Amino acid sequence: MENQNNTLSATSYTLIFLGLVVLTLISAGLSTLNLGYLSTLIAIGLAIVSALVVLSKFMNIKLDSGFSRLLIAGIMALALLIFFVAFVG
Amino acid sequence: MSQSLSVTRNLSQPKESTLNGVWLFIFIELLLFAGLFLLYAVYRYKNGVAFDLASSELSITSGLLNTIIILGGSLGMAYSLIAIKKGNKMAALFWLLNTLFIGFMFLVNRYFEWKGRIDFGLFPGSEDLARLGHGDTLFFGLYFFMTGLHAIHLLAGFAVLIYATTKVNDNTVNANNYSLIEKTGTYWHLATLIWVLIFPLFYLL
Repeated sequence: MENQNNTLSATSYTLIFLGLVVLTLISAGLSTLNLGYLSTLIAIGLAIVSALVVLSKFMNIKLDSGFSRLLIAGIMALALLIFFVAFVG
Repeated sequence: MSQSLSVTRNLSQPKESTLNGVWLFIFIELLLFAGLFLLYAVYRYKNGVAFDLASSELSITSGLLNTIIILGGSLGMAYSLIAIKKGNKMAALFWLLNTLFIGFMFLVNRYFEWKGRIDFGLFPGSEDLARLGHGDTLFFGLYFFMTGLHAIHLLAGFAVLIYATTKVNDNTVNANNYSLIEKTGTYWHLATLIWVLIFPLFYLL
């Protein structure tokens, strides 16, 4: 959250927004196919990708700082845990 | 930005440490929702078939629409930060109010989605739901609780946005002093982040 010169341009934000929308549409489209465990993995995987984009671009977390690495490791661990507990058993 | 999240380096700078306060708050919020995600995972494990059937009761289109709406809200918030950094007060006000409106549209869509479920008798404590069984009760309990908690976060976001809008309007927040808009934005994007994670769990899986 440093203040100088790290805000992206309006065009970049628009492109990021469009990218996220496309990602969501892909995720929703793939969920209508019946791919078994794979569809769960894809849905959760794409959600994590979107979440990381929101964190790094909109919330402006620098993804290579120590704290954000910890945060991301936590999110990944949680996602894996959810996946294995809920769908693999 | 590089030192934004390293607490130790910023302790001597009061302004930065208030931003770190926002990050601490956001971390706690994520932990709160992490607990709910785990709860969801355990319940889904115990009631896999019921959760599969119950999630087909929810409209993917409605969820998709809400996802796009809330992403648009984040875009508006980002635009307002750009505008205030350039010192363009009117544009900043426009995008802040626009974000507020988009957030409101999200809640309108949420209202109709909830109303649809409630009309079908699918709400916590209803007899129809009790007849469907334990798994469906858990699914819709979690659905209403998690989307409801998220909606409350948006309502809190409205309060912060309105406050920020008034501050921009009376020139307290300007091109030289815009950390309030940054903090507001960080909180607002948190709501987007949480929704992006909630969306697949209830609508897609």
